[in-house]
Amino acid sequence: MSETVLEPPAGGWRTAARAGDRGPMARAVIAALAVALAGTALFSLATGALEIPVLSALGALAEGRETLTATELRDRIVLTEVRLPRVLLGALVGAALAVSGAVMQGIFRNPLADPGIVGVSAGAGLAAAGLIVLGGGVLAPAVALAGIYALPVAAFFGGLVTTFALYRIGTRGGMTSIPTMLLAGIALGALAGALTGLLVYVADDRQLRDLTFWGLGSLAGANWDKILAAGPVIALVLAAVPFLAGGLNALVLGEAAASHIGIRVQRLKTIAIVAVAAATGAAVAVSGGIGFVGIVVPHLLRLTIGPDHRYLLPACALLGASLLILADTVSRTIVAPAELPIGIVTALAGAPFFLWILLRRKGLTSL
Amino acid sequence: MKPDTPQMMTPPRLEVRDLGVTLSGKPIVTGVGFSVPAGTLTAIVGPNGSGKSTVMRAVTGELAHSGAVRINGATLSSLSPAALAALRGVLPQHTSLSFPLSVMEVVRLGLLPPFGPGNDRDARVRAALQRVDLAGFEGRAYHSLSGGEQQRVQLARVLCQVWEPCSAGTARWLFLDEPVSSLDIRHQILIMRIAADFAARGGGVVAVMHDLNLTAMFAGRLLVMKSGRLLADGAPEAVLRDDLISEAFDHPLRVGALPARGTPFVLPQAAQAAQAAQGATRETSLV
Repeated sequence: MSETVLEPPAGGWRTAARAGDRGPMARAVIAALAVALAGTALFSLATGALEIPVLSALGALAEGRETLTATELRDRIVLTEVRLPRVLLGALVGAALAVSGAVMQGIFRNPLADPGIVGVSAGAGLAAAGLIVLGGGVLAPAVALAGIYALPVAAFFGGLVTTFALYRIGTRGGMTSIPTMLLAGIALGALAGALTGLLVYVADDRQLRDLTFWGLGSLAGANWDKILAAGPVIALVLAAVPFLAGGLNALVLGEAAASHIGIRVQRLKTIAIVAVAAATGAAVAVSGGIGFVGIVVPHLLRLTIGPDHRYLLPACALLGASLLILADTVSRTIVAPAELPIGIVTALAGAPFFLWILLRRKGLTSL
Repeated sequence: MKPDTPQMMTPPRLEVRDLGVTLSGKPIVTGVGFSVPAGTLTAIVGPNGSGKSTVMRAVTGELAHSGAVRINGATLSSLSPAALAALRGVLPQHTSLSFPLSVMEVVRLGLLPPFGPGNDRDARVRAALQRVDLAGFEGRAYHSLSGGEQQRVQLARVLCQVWEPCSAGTARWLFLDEPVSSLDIRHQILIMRIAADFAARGGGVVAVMHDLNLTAMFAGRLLVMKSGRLLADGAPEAVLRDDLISEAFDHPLRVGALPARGTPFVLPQAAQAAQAAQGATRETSLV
């Protein structure tokens, strides 16, 4: 389906600029976002306590260590061991959160559905916290077996269980009630948060430090292991969601109408829920609870390029990645040498934006 | 097409046998059975809550039901959503979008994959909008349209889906749930003409209707529902009788005939007149 869309129509691009078709504009925006992501990444790599000539340092990566001066060697180590993993992790997490938000909003047919708001992130965080605190005991053999994947897998199941519970509670006789779903999500999120809080009392000092990290979210612990653990899951989800775009577009008409035009709605919902749980779980496992990316990015893009998921999903991945890299750069430089948790930065920027979304909605009933 | 292709053998009919629908423990529709051919506009009429829309939603595969539904000889449950979508389009009573699409983006959703190149798609979208008298509306936001215009946009989408009423010997079907309820009189006629034309070209049309006179003008077959059951089934001339139609709607109704072609028309009687007709003591009658 997308193949025919990406080719210029037989009449050329001029006829493509038809009224009501935002496709050509959306493609231009996606191209611009890709360029912006590259720029943001380079900017973030160059920014920090140490000034690094990024382009020449990246260019020199191919050369052997022995040809480098001491300064160049130091720059290279900072770049490859500190900043590059951090930028990559920021990009992965940002893309995962934004795309998860867009998919969840499409499935629940509501622009306010977001893994952070409906408790999926909290559920994933609870599972991760449970593993940190209790993982040394009965779960130890399993944790040892899973290695670096233990945390993402636990967070994934935490997110999946929460999403499924949410969906079950909100659905009666094949119809999903959006207000019920949102309210249930708030309750489940509070429950998961409270249980995570209880874990604090059984945690030792080291575990406590790790737990605090979940509260506000941070990319400070970025390293190649974390990228190896979360990267494949997120990459797989990002590669899979374009196949959901057609179904999500049909779902804009409602579940019944979508099935009438040939969409297997139940299967679509199942795949989408698993994808959202996987991406959110992986993101939460390596970065903690980072809020508002999943709600602000899709909304901003819908205002710009329209709700067509064939364009919305890739655009969300690109913009989410850029914004999180940018937020992380702010979080690690603004109070240097100390660091703000990135969750504070995204909430400071995202919460007012979220309120603005609520204010500019015309009717209260349209929630 | 050769006449001996298998498609030609399957009867282009919608067959419903002993249909029952129970919603939250309450039987809404019981023992409904009918068999209607493609090539005829079939209308389902009846009072509010008589089960018209429920029958429609069961027959289109939206509601779980007992009994059997066969479309062109194939059992409903044996057809995949994609196969069913290629066979029939469904116009719901009302459609609210979760996200703000343009008119073109809505209508384009009716183009099922796989569909031809971009130019064909646009041509069909434009032609469909033209048919429902919305040419030039492509760039408008769906949300900004009136209820009647939105309904016509949805019909354009459904028409895109089942463009050919009959191809390769297979009849396609249109299921319309109150297609004209929010339209002005000119567009009511326009939409009924589109439906009648679809039937005239070999397609099947089943429409839930409220306006009995509009129904009598366009329908070739009438199913009258009352209290979840089928009360009558037949040609408009046979079904639209004073006694039968008055019983269906629990209100005195009188059927006349339009002068030109003898098309029946239904005239509601005022309550006083009804009582007078039933022998109650009344000094005046409104008719």
